[in-house]
Amino acid sequence: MARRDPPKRFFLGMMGTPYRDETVTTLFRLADAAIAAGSHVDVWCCGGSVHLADASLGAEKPRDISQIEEPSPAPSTAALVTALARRGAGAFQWNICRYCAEEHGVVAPVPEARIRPSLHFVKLMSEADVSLILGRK
Amino acid sequence: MKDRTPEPACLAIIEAGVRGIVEEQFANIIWLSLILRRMRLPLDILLCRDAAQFALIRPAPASTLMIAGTSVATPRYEADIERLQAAGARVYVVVEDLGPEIDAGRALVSGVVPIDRDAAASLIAGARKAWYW
Repeated sequence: MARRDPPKRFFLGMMGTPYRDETVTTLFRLADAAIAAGSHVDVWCCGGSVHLADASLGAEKPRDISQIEEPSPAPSTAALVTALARRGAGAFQWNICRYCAEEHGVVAPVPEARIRPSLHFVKLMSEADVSLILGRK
Repeated sequence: MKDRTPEPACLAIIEAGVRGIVEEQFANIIWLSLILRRMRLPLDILLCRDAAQFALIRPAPASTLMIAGTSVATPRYEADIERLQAAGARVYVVVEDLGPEIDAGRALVSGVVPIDRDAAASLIAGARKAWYW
């Protein structure tokens, strides 16, 4: 049986609230796998997920104060967004809904993330070969 | 000199299982309980529902989670429970929530106390303060 080519464009909508379950982990792993397969990936964040790419999160989480002598490396979600963008090399874009960004007080995401007009959600989803919405707003 | 630490009287009930690995990483709810305990908050833990799985000995260390070539710290529930106990906290687990195939006598992290639902109700009723995480 002939092997199917991976979809050219993925659209991953992230509507779930961070910290509640494993949806954000799933999002990052899906995006990483799609990039590795050579696909273009657009992530769209609404609701509480708009803060995942906040520059104020820094590169790493606060230090593990229970293990000062042997801290665990723990990249922030913003650092992971940057890492995905580097791996994607132009084939990955992290998009933040402007309406949600204003509602949640997002002012400065990392440079690899863009605050986009809300209607852009429909445009990006329509352009994708595969669209998947994770969670609920 | 008398120990000024009061007897453990608060009970934190942890019900939701694996959650927020990427967001929390090392700073999961068991870890936070450890930090609070080390700050001398008298705190015991009751693991129930999906979070009962935290009390089980893992057959192997958690696999490494890599995202875009970046290593993500995965939770170390077992080690954190052991450190929590070393800090003086008692850790209870509702045995019915472990599932019928689990032998609580062999599968639990050392020191974790298996209790049934009726005993859990008594434990909550007897706590000075009890809350859900």
